This record gives sequence, C-alpha cells and structure tokens, in this order.
Amino acid sequence: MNEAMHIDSFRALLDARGADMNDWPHAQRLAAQALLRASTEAQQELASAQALEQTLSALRMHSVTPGLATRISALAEPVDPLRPLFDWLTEKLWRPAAMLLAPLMVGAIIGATVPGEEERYDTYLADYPWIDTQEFVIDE
Amino acid sequence: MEPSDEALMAAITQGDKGAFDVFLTRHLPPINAYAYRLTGSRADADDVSQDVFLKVWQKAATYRKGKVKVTTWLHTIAHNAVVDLLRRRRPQVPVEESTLTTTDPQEDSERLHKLLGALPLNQRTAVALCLLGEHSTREAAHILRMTPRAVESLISRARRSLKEAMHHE
Repeated sequence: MNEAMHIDSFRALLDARGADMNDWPHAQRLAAQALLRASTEAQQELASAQALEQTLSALRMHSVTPGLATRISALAEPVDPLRPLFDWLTEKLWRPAAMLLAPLMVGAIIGATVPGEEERYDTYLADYPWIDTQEFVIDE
Repeated sequence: MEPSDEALMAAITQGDKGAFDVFLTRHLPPINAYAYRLTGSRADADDVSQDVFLKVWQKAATYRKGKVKVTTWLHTIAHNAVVDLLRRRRPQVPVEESTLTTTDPQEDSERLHKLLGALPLNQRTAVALCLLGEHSTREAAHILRMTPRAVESLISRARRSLKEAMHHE
C-alpha cells in the first residue's frame, strides 16, 4: 500500500519533474494519482503545471534571423596555416613561461629597489650631519 | 552520412571553411535560440551568435575531444558571451503587469519571453537549457559551473516563479 501524499509534496514534485506524471517514479505517481482523486487543490495545481508546460512548448519555437548564417560565414576569414601551431604553443607554454619569468621579474624588482653600497654609505652619513667627510679626504 | 561534430571540429581546426559552414548551419539555430531566451532581444542574440561562431572558427583547437560534448562546449561559450553582454548593460526595467495580457499569438510569444526575462539569470539559463533546450541537468551543471542538484533546484524555483507569474496575469 502506498503512503498518502501531502499536497506540499505533490506541489514540489510538479515543480521538480513537471506536469507529465509518466516521468515520475512509479510509487510517487501512484500516490499522486490517489491524491488527485481526492483533492480539488491538487487538481488545480496539476492544471496550473500543465498550463506552464504548454507555455514552455510555445517558447521552444524559434526562427533565426534571415541572412545571419551568411553574415557570420562571411566574417570567418581564411586563417594562417601556422595558426593551430601558434594556438597550441600559446596554450601549452604560457604556464612554464610564467614560472620561468616570475623569479626573473622578482630579481629585477629587488635589484632596482635595494640601494647599492655607495648609496647606503651616503644615506648613513646623512643621518650624522656633524661628521665632516672632507676630514677623511687625504690630500695628495 | 553526416560528419560528426567532433570530425567537423577537427576539420575547422585545420582551417576548413566548408566544415565551418556545415557546423554553422547545424548549430546556429539552437545557439541563437538560447541567446534569445537569455537576452530577450533578437539583435543581442544575433550578436552573441556571431561572437560564438567566430570564436569557434578562431579557437577550435581549444576544444578537448571527449571531455565534454561539442554542444555543451558551444553553449558554455554562448553563456559566457551572454553574461559579458548583460554585465555591460544597466539592470533591466521590471516588466509591467499591464503588458502581460494579450490574445495576439505574436504578442503572446513576446509576453512569454517577458515572463522568462523576469526570472534571475541562473534560473532562466536552467530553463533555457533543460526545459526549452535538450540538455541534461548534468550538461547544464557544466555550463553553469554548479552541481546537477543545484540545477534541479533552479528548475524547481523557476517553474514555481513562472506559475505564480502566470497566475497573477
């Protein structure tokens, strides 16, 4: 014997599986049919779901704008015979190339931003303005 | 015998224009319909379709045979193109209820598209792929980058919202 189906479960099944109960699992279909015999609310829910299916059927119709295929075909220009090779290379090589270039870039940035020895000495002396650097100059 | 999608893709990779034209004739209608259902505009759908097929022509080599079906790959490109297009746009003005009651079939179709257009993009996409198109929830999950269960949930919510919108007309 099938368990009685609640109207909320019936509504949820209609939303999930659509109004064609042939697509529903056997046990649920039997329970739904029993509910439909007893409940006008369930019958209204089914009618509403069937109306939606009809609406969706109408939406399935579609016609393409005349001349669109010709327009697109005309825009597809002949390609360079080396293009597939180029596509393959760019697709396959960008990761290894990025991995090689990343340390180089980091090195270049560090090299450009860290001051050299002479610059560090000048910066150091700038913190001690009372030191006369001329005193250390040896006259020839 | 008709060449398979995979065979056409391999030929397009080699720059075979004839194969591209066969591929275009075969796949333009579903891609154009998909773009129209998501954008609600014929002009936008045509622009998206053009972008998608020119990408196929130029980037066919990026398709990995056996990983996903050609149609799934194609719809993923179309979906990304639509998302890019909609991001560049201002938010859409909500559809007024007064415009949703007609008896003319042409207007009826527009009204139905407006109902669809009122759904959030991910629900609209799930409906366009699984209920209006012929994709499984698994394929839709790949295109939307989510789980099949999440797609099923989107479809349930979309059905409920559409029924409520139709009920309020």
